[in-house]
Amino acid sequence: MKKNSYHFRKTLSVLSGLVFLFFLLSLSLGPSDLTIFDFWSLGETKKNDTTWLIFFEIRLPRAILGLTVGMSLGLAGAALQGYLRNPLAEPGIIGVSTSASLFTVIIFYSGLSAGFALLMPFAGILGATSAVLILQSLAGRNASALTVVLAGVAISSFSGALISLALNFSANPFATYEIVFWLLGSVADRGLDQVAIALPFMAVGWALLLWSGNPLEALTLGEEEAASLGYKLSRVRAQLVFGTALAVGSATSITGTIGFVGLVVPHLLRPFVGNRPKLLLSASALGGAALVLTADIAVRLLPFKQELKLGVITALIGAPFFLLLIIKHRRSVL
Amino acid sequence: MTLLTIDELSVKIGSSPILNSVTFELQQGKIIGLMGANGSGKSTLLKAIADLIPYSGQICWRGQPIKKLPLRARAKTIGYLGQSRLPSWSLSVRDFVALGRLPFEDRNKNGGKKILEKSIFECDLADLSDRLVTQLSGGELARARIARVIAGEPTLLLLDEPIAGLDPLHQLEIMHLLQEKVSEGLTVFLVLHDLSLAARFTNRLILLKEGCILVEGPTATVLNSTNLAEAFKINSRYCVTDGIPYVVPTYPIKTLSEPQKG
Repeated sequence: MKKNSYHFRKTLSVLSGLVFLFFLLSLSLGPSDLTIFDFWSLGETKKNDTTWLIFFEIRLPRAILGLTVGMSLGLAGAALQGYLRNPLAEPGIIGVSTSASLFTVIIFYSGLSAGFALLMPFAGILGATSAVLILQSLAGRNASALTVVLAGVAISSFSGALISLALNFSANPFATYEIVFWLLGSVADRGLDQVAIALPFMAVGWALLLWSGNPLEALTLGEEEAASLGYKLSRVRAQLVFGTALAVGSATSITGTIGFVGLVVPHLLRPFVGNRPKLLLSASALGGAALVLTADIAVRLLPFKQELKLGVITALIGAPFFLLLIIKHRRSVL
Repeated sequence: MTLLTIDELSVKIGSSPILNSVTFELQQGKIIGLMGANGSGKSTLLKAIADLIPYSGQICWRGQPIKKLPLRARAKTIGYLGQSRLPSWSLSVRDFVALGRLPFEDRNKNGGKKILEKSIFECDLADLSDRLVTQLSGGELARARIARVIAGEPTLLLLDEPIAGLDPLHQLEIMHLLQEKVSEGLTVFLVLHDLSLAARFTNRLILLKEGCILVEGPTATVLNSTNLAEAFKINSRYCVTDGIPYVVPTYPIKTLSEPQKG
């Protein structure tokens, strides 16, 4: 245990350093050659200066979103893997991401996003919360982890089908184009107002998830023995599912679907925390932030005519990783 | 001293009755065995006592309805160990045993650490404490699981087949360990399938048949051929050699004369 807590502290320190470094790099990179030092030297009187606008309107929201969305995805991934006791689980599995996307697409589709841009985050949170409530009613009060997964897959599939339906019947090709690009997932071109709306919801989600460390450790023993250690599993489940809905739902509503972060990060960090679900939570939050910030820096550095979407790059890394995990698990079963 | 009183306990799964009006008492400082054919309701009874499944009837802890005990207090008082399974994540033995301290939230405090070390030592796991639980043999894992539940310092221990799948040496090790803890004041209520180990190590025995108590009492009186024929459809002999009681089951049922005890 002493060795583990030493490794844990070391892991957290390294991850915090990486997050800080990538955050500063994210602020310093863009089409213009401005660096963090140029922003630093600006005075209070220069609020209409282009440099000021680039910093506050473009780069700061992007860096904050990279940080917070990464934290949400990494943390939710670790929490869900702990709860479902399945290393292949990730936030999308309980249908939260797709439902958040669906509700946001409805706002796009109805044209309300043009007049009321702030409706989008609310729609995402509403979508995520609806998914959770449907999941709760589908799975029942004392559902097993498997039932929760199956219910989540059903919700995810249905939400995906409704998004396809919306795209299919879209009369306006520009709206279709906008929706498709939004669904690809990105932290670029978002404002501080959007960050301000989503952040409190994400923060509540983080608190709920981080608070579930001890029950997640107990669940290592299985549901019955976890309950015998004094945890009310229905309460634990509600805490985890609502925490995931708030963190991932609000993040998805701003950025679109950024997949696989919640799968890859906990898997990579698990050996550094002695496989302990509680320690994995905070490590994965920092790891998720580091990964999303890195991926977002990478899309800016890649020499393509049009900037690659963040969701595309995480999928390109995550999908082969997912396949490798499946092969590894198949081998261990065989 | 009566620790637990079970009164008219019934459990249904769907419309199928699993336990029917089960009534008995558990006395402190004893090893009480629970036996019966597969599907007779043994595991269900243990789960109901641990409040892991819904039931009707009354379970009282030292005369008070157990439901009135707060969840955390109950977890500190009653330790439950289900049938053997590997933990979901490959923790080190020390981290695994430390899960037993979760209700006390003192895994990283001095008091908790001392109890943890004691449990690891008592279960002979000191040399294995940094090893991953997935790297343990069946016997070592069984000891680690017992250490985990002992680390919670419960008053009553509910164990569902704690020695299933173990070789004779490891079976004896576990049973001796439990006997030692009982001599320190612990009460153990455990499901067993081995008639001879039950004869040797349990003070009292409950035989279940189709969700009802067939017979309950001191082990030596319960383990007679009539009861065992009724519970398991086997013939058997209760013998004692060098002061060690054991039961020899035979199959198919044939007429055997009951030998003289002693």
